[in-house]
Amino acid sequence: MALIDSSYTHRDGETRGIGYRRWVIAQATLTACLKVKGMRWVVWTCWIYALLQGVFLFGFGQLMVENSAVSDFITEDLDLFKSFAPMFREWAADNPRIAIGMTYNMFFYLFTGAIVSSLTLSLVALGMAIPRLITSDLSSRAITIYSSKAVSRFDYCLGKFAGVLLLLTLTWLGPTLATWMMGNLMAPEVSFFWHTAPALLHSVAFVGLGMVILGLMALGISAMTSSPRMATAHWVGLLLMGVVLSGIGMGSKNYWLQYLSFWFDLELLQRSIFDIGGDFKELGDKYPGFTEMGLIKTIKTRLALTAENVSAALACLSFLCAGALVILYKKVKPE
Amino acid sequence: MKIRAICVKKWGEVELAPSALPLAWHALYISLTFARMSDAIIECSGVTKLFGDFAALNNVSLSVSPGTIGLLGPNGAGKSTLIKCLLQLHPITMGDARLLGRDVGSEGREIRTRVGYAPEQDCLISGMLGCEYVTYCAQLNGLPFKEARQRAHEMLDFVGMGQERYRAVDTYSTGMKQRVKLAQAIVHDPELVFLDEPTNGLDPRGREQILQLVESLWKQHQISVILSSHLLQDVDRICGEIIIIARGEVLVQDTLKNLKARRAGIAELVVEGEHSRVLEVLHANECTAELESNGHITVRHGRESLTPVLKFLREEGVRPIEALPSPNALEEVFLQALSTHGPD
Repeated sequence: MALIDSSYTHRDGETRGIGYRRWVIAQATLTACLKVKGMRWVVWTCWIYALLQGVFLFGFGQLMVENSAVSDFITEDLDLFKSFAPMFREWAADNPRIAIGMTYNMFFYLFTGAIVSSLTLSLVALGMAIPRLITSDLSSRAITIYSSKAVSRFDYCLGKFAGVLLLLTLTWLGPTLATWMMGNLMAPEVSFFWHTAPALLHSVAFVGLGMVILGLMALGISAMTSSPRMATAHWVGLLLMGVVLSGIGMGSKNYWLQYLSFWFDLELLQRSIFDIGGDFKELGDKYPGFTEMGLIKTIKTRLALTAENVSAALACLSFLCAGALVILYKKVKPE
Repeated sequence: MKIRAICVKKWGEVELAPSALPLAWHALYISLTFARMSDAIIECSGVTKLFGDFAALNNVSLSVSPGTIGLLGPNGAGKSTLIKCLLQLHPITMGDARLLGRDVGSEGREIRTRVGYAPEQDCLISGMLGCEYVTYCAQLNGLPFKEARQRAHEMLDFVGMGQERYRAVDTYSTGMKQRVKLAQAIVHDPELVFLDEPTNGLDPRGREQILQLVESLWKQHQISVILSSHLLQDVDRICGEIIIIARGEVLVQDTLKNLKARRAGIAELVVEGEHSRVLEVLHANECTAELESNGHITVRHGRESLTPVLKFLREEGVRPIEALPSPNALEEVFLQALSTHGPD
């Protein structure tokens, strides 16, 4: 008698194409990343942070409405704003592009890329996910199994990359879009949607570009080693190197050192996309004295940007991405 | 009687049943089917694989027909490298190779949808459950999720995995890993499966089960199997054709039957007591016989068949408990091949 019950059957069902198989790899990558201890907390934090931002934008919208709870609180409980609030409402009604559009633009500039932002949280999430991207497949030799299936190295890398993008959508792009939507849905007027549309476009452009750059870098770091600890150490090292170089370069003659920090390069890219300098220029043209005020002037100077700055930042980021691609090409292969 | 061929799905899978189709159609159908059966599943021409200056494969030329094929060779002979080159896991340095009629170099992805592979090393995806892993592998071959999940469970049943399939693969024993590797290799219903040392690390019962499964793949389901192993008894047990490879070169390629025929003049007899009498009878009939340490008698009779030997033994009143024609034939052929052409 046979030791086993042989119940093999042939199949005659459909076989899906390569796009489906890449998507399967992306899904599995995201699932593996979300299984990392603490990852769900990071994702939840991003969304809670987005919710808080939405509440802030709701409050900002309510400032434009007479007799709203927020407006009443400010005018009745805070004497300072008693006379200022009605003037602000009137001015905002006449200049919605500045009062709403520029405020949202500045707000999303800070929300998407500043130190305490969903970018920082996304970098933390990537640091946690890196050992589960390619490193674990290299250490467990699962890369051999992928290679023996109907997917090429390119398909594998593309699937993994899509998986990283899905993770970053959860931690970065999703919360950004949700914040914008919440802010506008809870705004006092529908006109908020088009006044704030540039801020949304800038956010999507910057976050989209950032996701591609960070995704490639994370995959490159993940493919560098088959040791999960070393992979995390490389990522942390890259972040720290960025902070240190940026710090050294900022206060010295060797200002070019700053460009070796991908964080600094991303910030320049963000400043360029959000065109904060342009906003200040428009503000200065309309209210000549305003942008020469102490704090505003400092901010304006700090955010000033030249085409050379942006080109240098783009060149450095491109170099990092090219490095990541070379690492992927060299390392992602069966032993 | 009018008959027709139905259900031609795999190599040579033909079921005959009465029908109203003319006999000529039937003849055409059958001839086409058998023409397919005769097609080579693997064709290599001057395949060379270099790692630096070292030639892991040296001008390998092969043509392999469907069936269960044993790939034999000592460690480091190039067995795994040959399989990896055929699956495009390693690029071929020189030469041409075709798998299932397609070019390995340019149609790798298409080939791999029709081929399964269970590597020698552990290659499970950390953190996944056994059933998740096999489902995932099926999806990687293009099966939609629901079908992939269903087939994963069917294949896990097939390889004898019970509730262990709901455990993380990281916690599996060697035997479980071998079963899961086999399940993932056949989950997409391939036409050809490469199994690299599938019985390594298994206990006798587990080994027997895996060998039964592998044997059934061709015999019952017409899935060709390339079994790479250094365990001669495994290959002897289930393979119909043997390829012996050493130092990256193919030394021998022939059917097991032919290889055994080369050693047809040797037999092993198991007798109870009477050893000296049996030896006397054998010597008297122009056979060379010697008593082995395990009590068996090795007879060199030099004949095509063992029947005449058994006949004169019976006439002399000797009845062996067991008579094994060509015992260890494969081992001897293997060692001879190595000593003649192989490593010094």
